[in-house]
Amino acid sequence: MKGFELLSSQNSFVKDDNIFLASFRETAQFHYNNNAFIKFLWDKNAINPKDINSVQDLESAPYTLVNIFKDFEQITGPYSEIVLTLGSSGTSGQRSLIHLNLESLDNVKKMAYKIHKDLKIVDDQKYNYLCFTYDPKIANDVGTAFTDELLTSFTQKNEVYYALEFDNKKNDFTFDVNKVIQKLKDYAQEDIPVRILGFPAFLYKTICEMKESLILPENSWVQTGGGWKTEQNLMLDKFKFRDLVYKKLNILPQNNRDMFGMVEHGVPYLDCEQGKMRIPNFSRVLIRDPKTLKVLKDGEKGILQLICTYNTSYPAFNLLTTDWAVKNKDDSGEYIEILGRGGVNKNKGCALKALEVMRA
Amino acid sequence: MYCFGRWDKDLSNPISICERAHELKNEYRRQDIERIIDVLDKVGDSWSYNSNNYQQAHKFLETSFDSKMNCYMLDVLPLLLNKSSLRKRLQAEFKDLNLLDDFGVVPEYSGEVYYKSHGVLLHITASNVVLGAVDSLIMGLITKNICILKIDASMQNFIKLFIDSIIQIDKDKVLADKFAFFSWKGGEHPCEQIFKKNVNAIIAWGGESSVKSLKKDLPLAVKFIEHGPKISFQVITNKFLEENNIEVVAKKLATDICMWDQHACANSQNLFLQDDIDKEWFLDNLAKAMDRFDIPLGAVSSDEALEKLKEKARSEFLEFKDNLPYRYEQKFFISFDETLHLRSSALNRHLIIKSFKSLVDIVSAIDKYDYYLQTCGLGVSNEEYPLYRFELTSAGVKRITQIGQMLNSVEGSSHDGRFSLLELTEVVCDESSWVDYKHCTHSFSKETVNESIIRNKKGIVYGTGGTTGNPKYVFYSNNEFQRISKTLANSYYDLGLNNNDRVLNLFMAGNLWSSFSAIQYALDDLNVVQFPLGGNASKEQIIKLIDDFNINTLFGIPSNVLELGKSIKGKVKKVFYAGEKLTQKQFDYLKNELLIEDIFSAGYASVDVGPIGYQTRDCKLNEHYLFDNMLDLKVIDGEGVVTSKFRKAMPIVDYSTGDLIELINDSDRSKTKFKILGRKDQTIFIWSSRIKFVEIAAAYGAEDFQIQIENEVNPVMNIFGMNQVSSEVFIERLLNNCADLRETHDAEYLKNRIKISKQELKANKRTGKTPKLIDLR
Repeated sequence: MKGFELLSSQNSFVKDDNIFLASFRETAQFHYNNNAFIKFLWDKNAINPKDINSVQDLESAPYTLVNIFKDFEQITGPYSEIVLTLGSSGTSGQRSLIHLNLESLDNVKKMAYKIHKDLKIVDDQKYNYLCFTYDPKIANDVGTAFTDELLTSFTQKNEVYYALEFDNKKNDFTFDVNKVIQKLKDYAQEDIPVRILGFPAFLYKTICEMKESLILPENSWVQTGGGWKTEQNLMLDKFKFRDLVYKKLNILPQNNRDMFGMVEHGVPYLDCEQGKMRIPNFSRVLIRDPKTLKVLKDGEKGILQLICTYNTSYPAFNLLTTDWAVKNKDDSGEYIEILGRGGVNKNKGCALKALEVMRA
Repeated sequence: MYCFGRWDKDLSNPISICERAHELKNEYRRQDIERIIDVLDKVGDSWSYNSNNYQQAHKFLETSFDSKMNCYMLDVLPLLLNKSSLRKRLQAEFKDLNLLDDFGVVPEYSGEVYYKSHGVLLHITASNVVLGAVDSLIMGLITKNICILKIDASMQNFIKLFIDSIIQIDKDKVLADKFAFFSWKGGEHPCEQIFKKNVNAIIAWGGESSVKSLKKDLPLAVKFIEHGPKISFQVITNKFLEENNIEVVAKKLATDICMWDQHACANSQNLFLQDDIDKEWFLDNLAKAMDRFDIPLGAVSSDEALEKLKEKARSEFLEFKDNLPYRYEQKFFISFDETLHLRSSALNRHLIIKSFKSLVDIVSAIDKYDYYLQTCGLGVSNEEYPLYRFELTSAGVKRITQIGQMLNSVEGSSHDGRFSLLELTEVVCDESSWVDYKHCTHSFSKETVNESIIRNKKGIVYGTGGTTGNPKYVFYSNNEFQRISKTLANSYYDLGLNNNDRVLNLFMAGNLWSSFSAIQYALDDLNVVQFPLGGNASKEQIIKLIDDFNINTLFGIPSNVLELGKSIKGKVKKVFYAGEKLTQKQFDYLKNELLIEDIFSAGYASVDVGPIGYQTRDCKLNEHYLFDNMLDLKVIDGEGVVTSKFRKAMPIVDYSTGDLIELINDSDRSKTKFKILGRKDQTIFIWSSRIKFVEIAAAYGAEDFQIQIENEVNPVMNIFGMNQVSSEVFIERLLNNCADLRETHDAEYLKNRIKISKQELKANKRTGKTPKLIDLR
């Protein structure tokens, strides 16, 4: 896709609506031509990709809701072109299956590299890695494992240690905190800086178990992602977490970056030095009121909508998520704050027996 | 916070709260249930439409519902508290409210039963459902539990208003100081752990995670009653729609979906629609009905709106993929699903429709959700109904209603497959059959009966004057009489009375006589069709009824049955008799001449003792088995003496029956078999001699006879009957049988004083019985 090529050549954090919109039209048209459901959706709304000429017009572009990827398999183009299928980590019990063709896979890798480079996270240096994620040799279809493997490709690698190991006896992944602490101690003895990737809850548990602080080599990094998942009760404020990691592992707060991503939407939203998740030029973000579907202003809490142009094999280029978020802007550009998963826990209780009483 | 009669600022000391609750439990158990109901009824009155409480409540009701729905909610509150409603709820489950106060008799059980409260009951109520919390409290109070109620903070103001209404009414503190309410965030507050471990029982209303969290680490001694997540659905078949107007049907379906904005577990979330029904047509009609539903949808939170949005996206994809229609509006949402599997809708008036071919499809879609299934609104034809009902309940549905009625529960219905009030009590049994010697007088006077009525409050009084003698009265409690009738019913069932039988009750009704009532109550328990005509009807009336309705079974006095004669030949197949002895000749006549196949005693009984014996097929004439579970029998000097094991209202202990009894040694030693030989007092005093009936029977040469004595000064004995015997032969035999007469007089003396007449026996017009002796002196 030429549009995406052009996007990739720009600075990730310099917003260029024209280039983005051109890329969007191209991607949308591709899906319109090759995915019957997308065609159905756009035709039903009496709109064509050619009609999207401004950021305002983006608000009218039909979106797909993330849950249909969980409920129904979605693909654009033939299965024969698919080179990788990833699943979400599925805390709600259902998994999205995302099919990537070669072009989409290359694009997502290119895009991730570009964004990290423009945020000065890419480095030629060798690093030791501690990944709080599933060993991708085993969990090769889980999106987070794919992401972490990708993230280790932005530097040279000395050692990569995956903390969630597969236990053949239990036939499941297990986490041994003592082993991880020992690994950190080993890394602290070396001169090679460390990058810690993966789920923040595991890093937090590790730090809490450590009896003593460690001084990891200079220029060590933390890059968390995937959210706190089922450990929401452990979730710390981002800045308190940065302070804690600095205190226990000597990793500078500005080198502690959280990332928001979704397997359905491959654009990473990384913290800048100030801890704000920047919206790269590869995507556009809208926040919608779930009752009226009106697009909300900056600073207003609503449902996160993510628009991208890199993928041509699954129709998530205009994705309405079920996450609460707020979009804001400062001198450095736009950024988002993720506020949690929206929706209601199903299986409501027997709440209103009394209301069944026969009325006179 | 409110704590057993006091308003407190906060939840300071849960341990001392539990201690106080335990101190109160026995005091509350001793409280009269009728008094508790009375207080609640008065509280309900203070919440009537437009009362001060009603108007105030609107300010405090923080619900998501539209104000019109809130009004309906407030309308329900007085109904919940209404005396009649509370009594019905209690009676449906406990049968006898007095059993919540003290031990008592229940039918079919030899011992006594008492429904004791658990003691201290913790209520964990669902958030944002204030009436649910109130009803939970009511349930706890009417089962005499000391209640600790945990509510959502949003309910506090309304609950305070409700409690104030109780305090104002209940000045005597019947129940105003028997409960407490608090508010804390579920699962996190340390006090919840303390309460959990220091109460006797917990009733939990809530979703899956809330119920699981409460159950965790619960001590074994704490009973856990959960009302967890449930789902309800409707079924509509093609045949049903052929027989019913679609607009009417749609309106009813809409009620089941829209009422309470689907917040109730009985609201329908899914509808199984038979697949040959036009989807668009059905959808249009249902959409219209839901659009017109007269109570607007309440506030929908953003998270709830997101759920609807997710479903809408799903529906849109299915529209594309499978051409399945849907209607998504602000007020309601109806979608079709591609699979049959039951699943929760987005609620707030969202219905998911699933197409099915046959009942098997629905069963396979729901049976793995057994625990979660609650109500099914059935829209099927009359022919389809029995099978659908059976299969769906076998698959796990706990409650079946018509469509439109899913939210209208009949008082006393089970909830989630259990009886909620029963669960809030323990059933305590007393198996010892103690005899109340203190109140055992064997006096059947009006004074005794009045005392019994005062002690027992409710029951039934029967009486008899006998054919001679003074009237006597006897009092049975309702439970006792129910037990008697059930016991009789069981004996008739064992003798083959079944749902093919049409039974005519010819015992004499009214006049405080017990037979007619006892038989009617007994027949109520059997699957027969009964005709309660009574013994006063004319022969013609009886015969016409038998002919008109193909009646095949008679219950009555032998005289009345025999009087019908050949007009019942070949028609009546079963006769159950009582009230008089049936002679062998009479038995043979019924059997051989009138072709009655089954002739059995309806029970050996008397009004003062009740039933004593029953027959089985192996019994010969006048043989009975004792009702062992109800009586003990001794034979003293040939006379039957009984003690009742269950009569407490008027105890019967070592009571002489006045009947001559002979115990029969049977091979089955587990049962007591006996034969009735006759009345002990069947002796005539005449001509300064005592002559027994059996001696007269032996002289007469048959049992079917009647003695009439006339002329006080110079008594003459007339013997009536159909047997052929001369006076001379009779006198000779009598002198031979009766030593006392032989020692006093000779045949010459007796020849003008004894007359034998061949004639029909004379029945007593009032009782219908044919007395053995008519003494006109």
